[in-house]
Amino acid sequence: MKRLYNDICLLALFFVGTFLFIRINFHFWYHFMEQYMMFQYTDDYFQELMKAPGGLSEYFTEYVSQLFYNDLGAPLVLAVLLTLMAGLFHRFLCYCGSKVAIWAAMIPAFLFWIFPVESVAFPVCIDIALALTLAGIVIRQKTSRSIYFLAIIIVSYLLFSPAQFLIALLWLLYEVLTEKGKGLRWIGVVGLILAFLVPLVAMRTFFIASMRDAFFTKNLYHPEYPLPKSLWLVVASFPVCALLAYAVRERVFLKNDMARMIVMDVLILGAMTYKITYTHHPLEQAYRYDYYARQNKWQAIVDHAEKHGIEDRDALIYLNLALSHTGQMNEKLFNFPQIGEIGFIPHDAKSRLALIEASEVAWQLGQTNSSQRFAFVGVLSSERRVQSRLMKRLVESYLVDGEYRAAGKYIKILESSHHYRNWAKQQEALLDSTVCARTKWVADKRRYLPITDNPIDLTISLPSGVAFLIDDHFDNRPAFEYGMAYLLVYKQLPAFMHYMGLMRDKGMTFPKLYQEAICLYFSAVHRDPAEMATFKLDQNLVYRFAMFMHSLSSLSPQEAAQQYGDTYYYYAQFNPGPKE
Amino acid sequence: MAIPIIIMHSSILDQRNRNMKKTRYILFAVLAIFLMAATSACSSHKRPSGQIVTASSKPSIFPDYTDVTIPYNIAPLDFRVNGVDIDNCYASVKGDNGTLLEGFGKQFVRFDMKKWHSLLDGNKGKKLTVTVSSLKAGKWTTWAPFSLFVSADQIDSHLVYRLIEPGYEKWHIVGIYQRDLTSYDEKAIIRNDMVGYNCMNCHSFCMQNPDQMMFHMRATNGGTYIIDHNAIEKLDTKTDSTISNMTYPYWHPSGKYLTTSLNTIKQFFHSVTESKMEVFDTESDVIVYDIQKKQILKNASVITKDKFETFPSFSPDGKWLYYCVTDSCTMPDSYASIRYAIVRVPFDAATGTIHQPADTIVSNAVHSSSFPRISPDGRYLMYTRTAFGQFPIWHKDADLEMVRLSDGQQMDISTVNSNDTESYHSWSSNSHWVAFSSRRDNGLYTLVYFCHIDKDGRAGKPFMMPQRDPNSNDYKLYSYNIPELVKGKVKVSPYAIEQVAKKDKPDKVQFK
Repeated sequence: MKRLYNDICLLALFFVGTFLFIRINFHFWYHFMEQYMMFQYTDDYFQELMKAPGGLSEYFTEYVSQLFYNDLGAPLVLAVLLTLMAGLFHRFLCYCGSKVAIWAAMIPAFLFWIFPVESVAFPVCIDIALALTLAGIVIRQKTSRSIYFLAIIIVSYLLFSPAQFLIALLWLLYEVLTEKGKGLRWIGVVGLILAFLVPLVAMRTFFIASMRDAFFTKNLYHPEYPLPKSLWLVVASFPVCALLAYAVRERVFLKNDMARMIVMDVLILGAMTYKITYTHHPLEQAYRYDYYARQNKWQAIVDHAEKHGIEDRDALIYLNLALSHTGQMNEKLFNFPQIGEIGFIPHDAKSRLALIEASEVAWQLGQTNSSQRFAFVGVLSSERRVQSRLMKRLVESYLVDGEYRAAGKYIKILESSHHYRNWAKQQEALLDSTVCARTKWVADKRRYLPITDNPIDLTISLPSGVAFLIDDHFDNRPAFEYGMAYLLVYKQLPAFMHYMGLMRDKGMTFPKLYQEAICLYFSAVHRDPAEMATFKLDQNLVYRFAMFMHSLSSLSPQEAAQQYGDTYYYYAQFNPGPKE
Repeated sequence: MAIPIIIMHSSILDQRNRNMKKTRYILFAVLAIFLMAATSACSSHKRPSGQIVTASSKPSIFPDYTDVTIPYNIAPLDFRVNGVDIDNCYASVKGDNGTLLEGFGKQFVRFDMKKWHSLLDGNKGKKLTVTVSSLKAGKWTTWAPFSLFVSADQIDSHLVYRLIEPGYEKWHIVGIYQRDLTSYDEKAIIRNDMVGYNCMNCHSFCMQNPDQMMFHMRATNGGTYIIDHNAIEKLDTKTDSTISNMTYPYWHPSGKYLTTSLNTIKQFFHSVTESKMEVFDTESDVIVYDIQKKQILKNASVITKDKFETFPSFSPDGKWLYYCVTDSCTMPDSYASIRYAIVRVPFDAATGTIHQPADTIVSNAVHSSSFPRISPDGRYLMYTRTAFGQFPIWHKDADLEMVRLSDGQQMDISTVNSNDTESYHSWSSNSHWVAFSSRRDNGLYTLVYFCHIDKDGRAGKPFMMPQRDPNSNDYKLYSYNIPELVKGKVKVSPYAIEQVAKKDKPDKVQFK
């Protein structure tokens, strides 16, 4: 009883630990991954999934993955799945005669802490396999048990592939390790052979699939990339743990029950605490910013970056985008380490994150065609060929383009999902061209649509693409700011001054950053006080610049940073800048 | 002793009773589930009853099958009644001979396959009258009837096409599929997830013969694959004397030759919203390939520097080689002004030679033409016309046109076209049906349409390829590309193609 109580407590601890582990370390990662699954409430969707092996398992996976939309969804789902895995495996080990402690049964589940998965397809598959195995081994009658397992191996391939491998393996183990299995061991071997034969037969009869997809389906991992080694490790951990547990079933490591329980608890707690504390996803900041961007929480990105700094290029792209959205680009651009063009837009966007970023940046700049194109490629290149966030962008871009029928198609698809249904329904009204034209955000976007056709790809040549946008609409603030940001980061002051001249002629005011750059230009590149005077700069800024120039040689780097670190001329002087 | 025996006996009896009760419960549960399912199915079988409102207009249905001409061997034309909150639909299809078929459904009308085929078989060459009713908020509305004209000309039983996401520079899952047009069965001939996620395209058949086909794979396991019954040949078609691998193919009716273009293809993306992308050639030529000798025949090829030649095809009698041609120019600078004409040169199959000069069949004075396809009876040339260029799928103005070859008369097939793109087309073996790709539904995804061409060259109203669930096209994220009608099922195994692709080294073709 004490032991049972302790096992339950440990399971509960594992549940809480898994919840915290995912919540703290992979929270934003799963938010990111949620975009790549879109459960649809249509018959067609169900039928399409059922056409391939493992369809029902995938249906269930995508159904529960809807919870990833919620902040606590992914931690909860994974905690449930992994705890269930540990519990079910523990029951299996008990049925095999091993008086094994719960912590040993947790090992396969704990491997998912070490090798996190992008979707819960694999844990779902394992849980189903364990449940079906347990349902079989409680059948006492040997013939019935054999029939059950042979049938379930075939059925589970069709519905829950590749669960049939684990079922066959565990069944064989059970028959080998238990007295009840005497006489059935050879049937267990037949079952294992059947598990491998069924995909081969199915390939020639029901499905047309590559060997890999026939055996492992497309759903466990991205089908275009090799299967990770962790897959084999997780699968192997089940028989290895079972055999080990069986081998030591008679041994007593610690005679004292209390001592044993304490040691186990400490070990488990220690392992979990270590993983929770020291796991860090390398792209955590980028995924966090992606999440904020989806919610249009641009200021949150800026606030976080100011507090924590910038860790990687993708985070910087989102930050610059956030600065543009919040009108702070001129004010705060050089508060963060700028790395050049690839900090503004990903180069030749091909990866998942890069395509999203490219689409977002292009959209902000007003290059609707590019935004649409990256969104389109982002959708079609995703593992399950859905990307809800980019589909929304497709709807928006087609509405701006006036391609209402194309927008309508994506609206219909989004309406079939739970999370995007309401948003899609709201867009339906915009399928009326008059209503659409009157809608503010559409009108704003249409105002800045490109006029001059050109074949420039923003991700290959951002400055050239932005130059066209500025030429078409000088008042396209985001494009202008991005253009000037590029020129200033690369210190291309003559080109920058061309646009400053245009600003001056239009009677526009210059933000602080531009004024500082103008001062630098007229000091370092082109001394012409008369022309400089036409820019009507803030005299305080001019004076401060003069002081900088005057004291430059006498200031130490630290003093210079302290006194002038917030200026453009400090950047120009002390920061080598990116190479073009 | 008696008491334990009695106790034991009664406990055994109790156990049996419990088991029997359990069995009964299970049986009841199964029966209940069965009854619920049956009830649910039957609940969609509702006929109009009560107070019925009669509408004067024809129903708005999707796909639009009103007043279309259909082959007698086509699969049932299930359709959806458009409108919000439709609870049930009903359709009655009456033949001229009095036969009646009923279709029922909740969201869409579904016809029984056997009964449908029986109805059409019995009404070849005749008219069917379809009356549709819809139930909404408890009230039935019966719409004005429309007609279906059942042609006595059958359509080829299978359609082969590529499914691909529509456009841009990347692909994901691409496959060449065959669809049984008499049912809804669709099977992959080959899919790129079996051969390294490469690109596959340009499938082509010899005179609609499913046993003789070819297609290309690009990137991983790249090559041209020629299939003759179960023999699969993998070829490397790039030579030192040619500018590229073989591209757009067409078979000689004898099956001994293939003509293809050679193209250096580029693309760029527009920044203005009126256009999306442009695909163009910087160079192109036309060649004829001898399949048995594995040789590109120089004397049957049109390889020039001062002209762009592309989209070749043979006449059904094999005596003429048709292709599109224009003067070469700097691309992409001239992309908006380049226009292709359709010309033909005589082809001698015995010697494998052609003779210049070429006759102009369709001029490029005003428009640009592509995809010249001669009907199998040799009477008509169908092509795609657009304002400029030779990749019309991205041009909204792309339409199908048809010329009568005997006198060069332009036929009026305006009923086939829409305000959006009509592009690739293929003929059925009896020259009475054309399958073509169209973006008329949403301007983005290409779907397959069929239209009837009668003996006088008149085109009937086209109809969309039927699907079991008409809504499936709404959710599909693939375009139908290069629809080719074939006379039967393509029997080559996808796994055989996979094996050749992965294991065989390609044979190098020669340039002679």
